[in-house]
Amino acid sequence: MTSERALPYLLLAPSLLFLALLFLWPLGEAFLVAFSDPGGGWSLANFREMADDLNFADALTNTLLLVVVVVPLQLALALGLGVLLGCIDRGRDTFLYIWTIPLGISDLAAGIVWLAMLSERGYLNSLLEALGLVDGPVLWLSYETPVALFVAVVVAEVWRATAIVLVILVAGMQLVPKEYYEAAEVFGASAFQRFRRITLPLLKPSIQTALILRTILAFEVFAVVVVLGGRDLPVLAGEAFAWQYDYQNAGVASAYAVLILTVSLAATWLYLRLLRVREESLA
Amino acid sequence: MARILVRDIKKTFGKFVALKSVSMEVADGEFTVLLGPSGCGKTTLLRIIAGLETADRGEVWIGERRIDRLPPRARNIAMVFQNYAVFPHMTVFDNIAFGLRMQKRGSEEEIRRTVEWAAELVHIESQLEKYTGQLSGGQRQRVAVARALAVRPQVLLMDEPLSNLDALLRLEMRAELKTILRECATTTIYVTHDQVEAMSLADRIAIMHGGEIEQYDTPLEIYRNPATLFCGGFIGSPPMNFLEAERVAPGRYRVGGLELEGPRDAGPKLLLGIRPEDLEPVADGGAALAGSVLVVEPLGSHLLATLRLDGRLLRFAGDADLPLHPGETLRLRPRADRLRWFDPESERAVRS
Ligand SMILES: Nc1ncnc2c1ncn2[C@@H]1O[C@H](COP(=O)(O)OP(=O)(O)OP(=O)(O)O)[C@@H](O)[C@H]1O
Ligand SMILES: [Mg+2]
Repeated sequence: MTSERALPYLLLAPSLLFLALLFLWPLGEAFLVAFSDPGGGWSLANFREMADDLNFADALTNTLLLVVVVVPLQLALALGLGVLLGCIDRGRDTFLYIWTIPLGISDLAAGIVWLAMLSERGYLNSLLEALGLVDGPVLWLSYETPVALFVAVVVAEVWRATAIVLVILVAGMQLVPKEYYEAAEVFGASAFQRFRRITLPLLKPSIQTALILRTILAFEVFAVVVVLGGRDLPVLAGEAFAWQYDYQNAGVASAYAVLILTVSLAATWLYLRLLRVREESLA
Repeated sequence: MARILVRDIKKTFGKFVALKSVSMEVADGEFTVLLGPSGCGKTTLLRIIAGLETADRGEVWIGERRIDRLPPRARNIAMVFQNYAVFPHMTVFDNIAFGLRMQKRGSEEEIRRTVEWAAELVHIESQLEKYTGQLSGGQRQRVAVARALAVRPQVLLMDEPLSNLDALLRLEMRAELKTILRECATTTIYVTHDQVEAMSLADRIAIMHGGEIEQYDTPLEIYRNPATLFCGGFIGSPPMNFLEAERVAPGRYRVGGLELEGPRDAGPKLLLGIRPEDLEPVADGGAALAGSVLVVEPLGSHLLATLRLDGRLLRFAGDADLPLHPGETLRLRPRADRLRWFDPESERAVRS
């Protein structure tokens, strides 16, 4: 009896060990580095240096703005596409496969794709010129046009990572039995009411998962931004990278890492609170 | 006015023909029961009337309105689903109130009163605040019934709405349903494969078999005069006996050791249908069906016996006090006014 109960724990143990070695250990290290000063004692010096940096406020604002714009946009898009997908009978899988292609591309590659489109000699400018809409090449991705740069990053991120939200939501939607929609329809619910009264509440767990996943990844946005704007659009992860490798200052880089972790955890906690699913309603 | 008219409905799923050509008319306020074995197409017919399934051809009318092209919510019906389909993310109260709210029927206060009325009818008024996931199967089923009753529909479709209740509660709710639906003059189609339930509830029963309605009549008429072998075998417990009959002269048929008066212009071979209670024991001497008793079931109110007769089984229902024992020979004669004749080829009744 006892050995039977212990077995699952035993089988799970290696994965825990693995995680501890390769994740918790470096995490602990990062914390130690972030909270220590050159003399070896505890201090907030690294955080002070981080906050005093010129780029810090921009990086924080840009990252938060990106999260606030990109994540809801992706959620809305994925919900819309998911509902539409539920309305078609044939070719559903084909649509899903096509939409998920960007998922298979690394974020660096995704950035390069959009760079090819948006750079000075890129496809967009060629197209606009051919149509006679502009006289010469327009600079979209420069520090002089922060809004255009920001929009470019948003577009690239939406293009790249909406599919993961879509996949999670579609999987959730497929779990909602058809009878609920039929019952709702018989009792007079319109398409919008069915979405609001049936789809949304029953999809809550999936929405929660998708939001947490996407938000955490959005706080870590890096490669796409670096490719499209370099440090013209500073973001938190980019700053961490710069401090680590350009300035060779592991202390401040670690402080950034700790900051990213903290906001991610805060967001996760918020989602878990706001989208709490009553256990008794899960049947 | 809310009569339901179904005309020449056909429905196929791929190559499988679920409904061949179904027509029926349920009068305004009438209670019709759809009765048939599993898989005969009862749910499919109900779903077509509700608009959840599209027929390949045919028409559906409610009152003077043709509705087969309308979406479900424009059809003004309520339905109890076979698998309940109560919403797990809502409380019992919200489930019952769902239709009223969607159709904007009155203030929250009025809705609350209606919900309480419906909940009391099905005895779940004490569970209103619970989520349906916390309920038993039978309780969920009652929520589904209450949700349908709450909208006080003109047309109510019920797909085995009491199948999951214990015998006592089912009996009680059956009676209540019948009363309330009669009071409200609701036109009802009620699906079941419980023939006792069908007999006790229905104004008329439609017997379905293999995607067709074989007979649509009052319970007693179906019991007395089944239109097909299937109807005779499906209604009644135990079902009708069928015995092979051979013509000896025009209008006269031999069954076992008996010669009986039969239909005049029918084929040389027929089947005689006779209910177990329409067999009477005869004193020794006269011509009779003689069979050896295999099993005797004393049921208190009456007695059931299974006999072997020419290698076939024959069921007999008689007086509870009959001194019958397995192994004995029992001699029986059918009541002359209860003989029913069937054509073995077409399986349909032959009127004499
Ligand atoms: N969506 C479907 N696709 C394919 N076949 C179906 C579908 N729905 C029903 N059928 C078939 O149609 C036939 C009739 O089904 P239906 O659900 O109407 O039976 P029923 O009389 O309600 O049976 P039960 O008493 O078991 O509920 C069955 O053979 C079933 O397999
Ligand atoms: Mg059914």
